Amino acid sequence: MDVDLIFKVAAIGILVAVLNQLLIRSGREEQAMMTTLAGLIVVMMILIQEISGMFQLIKRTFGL
Amino acid sequence: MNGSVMLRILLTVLAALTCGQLLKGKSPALALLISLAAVLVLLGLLLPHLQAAYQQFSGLLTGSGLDTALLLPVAKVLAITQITHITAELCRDAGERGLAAKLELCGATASLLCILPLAEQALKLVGALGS
Repeated sequence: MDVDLIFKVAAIGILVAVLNQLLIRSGREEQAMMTTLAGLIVVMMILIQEISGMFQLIKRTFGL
Repeated sequence: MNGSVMLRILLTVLAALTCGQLLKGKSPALALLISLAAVLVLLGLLLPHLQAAYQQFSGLLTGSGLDTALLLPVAKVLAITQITHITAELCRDAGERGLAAKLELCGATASLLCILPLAEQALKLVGALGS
């Protein structure tokens, strides 16, 4: 796990924000909301895997 | 821990802060997830050094003739406290103070449950000394 994770999340966030603005300006509010939701779910899935790995590492490190 | 690790930690925090501020206006939920990602990266950087400290402390306990099993509840409580604190602060950053308070209550209960067997042993020891 490296600082790449932060940049990955930031890249997805910027992409989602741009898409959100484009869709809102073109009058497609529902699709904009769905895009934001999809971005959130993608990031959540990445982070949940990392959190799971981190918990396993902590348990292994301290013998819990 | 040497200077380069501290420098990496500082740069990671600065990168997360910049990305978080960039996204805060347009997508606050993703800005919060950046904070979470930063926490994970920082823990990943810190964990090898924590492991070294834990092993040294275990060595000291073994050298002094104490049981290393005594260290386990302390490590558990420390881990629970830190995880609770980090998550509660994330909740506060998102403006959910009520959720943070409930989480702290859960953390305190979990810590109490971890420390109870040790307290029981200490009380038994006091009772044995008294009789």
